[in-house]
Amino acid sequence: MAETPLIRVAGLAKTFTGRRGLRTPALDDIGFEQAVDEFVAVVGRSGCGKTTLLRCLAGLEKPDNGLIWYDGSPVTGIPAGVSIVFQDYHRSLFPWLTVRENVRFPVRRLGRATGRRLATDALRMVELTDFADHHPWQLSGGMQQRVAIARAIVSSPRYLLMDEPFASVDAQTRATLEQLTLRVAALIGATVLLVTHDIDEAILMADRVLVLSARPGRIVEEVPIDLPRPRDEVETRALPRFQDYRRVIHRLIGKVP
Amino acid sequence: MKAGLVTAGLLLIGWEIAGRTGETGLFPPFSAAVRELAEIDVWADVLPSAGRAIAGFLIGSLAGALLGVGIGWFRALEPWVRPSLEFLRAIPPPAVLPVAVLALGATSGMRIAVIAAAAMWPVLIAGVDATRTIEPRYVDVARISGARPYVVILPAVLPALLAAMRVALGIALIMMVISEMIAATGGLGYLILQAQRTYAIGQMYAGIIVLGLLALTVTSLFGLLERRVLGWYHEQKGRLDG
Repeated sequence: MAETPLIRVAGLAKTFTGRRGLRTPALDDIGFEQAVDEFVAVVGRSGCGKTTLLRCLAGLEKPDNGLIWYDGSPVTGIPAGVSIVFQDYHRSLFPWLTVRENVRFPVRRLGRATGRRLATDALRMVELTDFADHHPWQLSGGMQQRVAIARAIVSSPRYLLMDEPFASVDAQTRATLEQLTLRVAALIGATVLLVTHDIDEAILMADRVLVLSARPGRIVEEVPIDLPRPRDEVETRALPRFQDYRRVIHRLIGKVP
Repeated sequence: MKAGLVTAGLLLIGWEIAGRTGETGLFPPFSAAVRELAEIDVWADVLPSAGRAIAGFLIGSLAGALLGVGIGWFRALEPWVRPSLEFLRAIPPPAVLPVAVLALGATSGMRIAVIAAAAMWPVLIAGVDATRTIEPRYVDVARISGARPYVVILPAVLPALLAAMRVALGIALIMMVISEMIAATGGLGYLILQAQRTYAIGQMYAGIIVLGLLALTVTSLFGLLERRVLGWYHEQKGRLDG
C-alpha cells in the first residue's frame, strides 16, 4: 500500500486478570490495516473481544502485546481526532446535561460560543435541532443514539469508532440510523470502524468485514464487500451476492482459526 | 397538608388537656410552654446554636465528600483505609465529646468540630460507594473528550451526596444539642438542661419547641436547595418510576 494506512495493528493481544488472578484472554494476535475513508466492520459473537479491540484502538485500554499505529505513529495515550459512539446511549449520555450541552461536552474547551455553534451544527446533521434544550431521558431511544452520534462528530474526528451503536433500537430506527451514519461520516470526512454482532448490518455498511473468532478473539478472515453504493437496505438484501456474503460470514464466525 | 394540620391541632389540644388535668407540676399545658417562648432570646440562645450546627454540618459534609469521592476513586486506597474507617464510624459520636473538651477546651470551635466529625460519616460512606459504582461509560466519555474525570464524577455522585447530607443534617442537630449539654454556658441544649435543673419546666418545653422549629426550618431549606440543584434527577426519576 503506497499511502499510509490510518490504522495499522500488529500482534495485538489483551488478557484481563480478574479477582484471585483469574485470567481471561480477550484478544490474541490481531493484525489488520484500515485505509483512510475505508469503512471497516468487525463482527463476532458477543464476548469475543470486539469491544476490547475498539477500546484498544481508542487508547482507553492498554494492550499487553502488539502495537497500534494511528496515522503512522504508535498509539500510547488517547490519540487526537479519535471519537467513539458507545453502545448504550442511556449509559453514555449525561442525564444532568441538556442535549446541546451533552453534544458540546467534547469541545467545551473551545469556549462557550464556539462550542455551542459546533453543537448546533452537529445536531443539525443528525436532525435534532428542535430538541437541543431537552434532556436526553426525555427523548426516544433512537433520538438518544442520534445525540450520541452528534456528540461523537462535534469535534470533526478523523477516526470514528462505533461500538454496536444500533443494538438497542428497533429495526426501522436502525435502518435510518445506518443511513444517517454513512451520510454524516462522509460529510465530516471521518473513517469509520464499526463493531457489531449483526452480520447484515456489517455487509450493508462496510467496505470490508473483519470476522473475529470466539474468545480469545482472533481475525479468522477479512471479507471485502463488493456491493454497489449507495446500498438501499431492501434492494441490497435482495441481491444474490448479499446472500453469499451472509452465508460466508456466518460460517466463518463459527470457525476456529 | 390540611389533614396533617388537623392531626397536629388534635395533638396540641391533647397536650393542653393533659397539662391542665395533671397534678405533678412536671407537665405544663401547651399554653404555658408557649408563654415561655417569649423568654427565649433568639440572638443569645438560638442563633449561636444554629450557627454552630450549620457550620459543623457544612465542614463535615465537605470533608466527607472530598474524602469519600477520593477513596472511592482511588480504589487501591480502599483496602488500606476501609477497616479504620469502619471502626471510626462505628463509634457513637457523643463518646468523643469528653475527649474533645480536653483537647480543644469548652469552646464554640470544639462544638463545631464535634458536629463536623459526626456529620462527616454518612457523606463519606455515600461518597465512597457512589464513586465506586459510577457508570464507567461516563468516565470513558470524559477521557475520550480530553476532560478530567472529576468533571463527570461530581455531577454523577451529587444525588447520593445530597441524600447523605440530609441524614448528616439530622445528625448535626443532634450533636449540637448534646455538645451544648456538656461544659456549656449557652445554646439551646444548655437552655433546656438548665431549665430542667432549675425546675423551670415551662421553659424546658419552650426550648424543645424552638429546637423542633429550628430543625424543621433547616431541613426544609435543605430540601428546597436539593430540589433546585437536582431538578434533572427528580424529574428523570419521576419519569422512570411513573
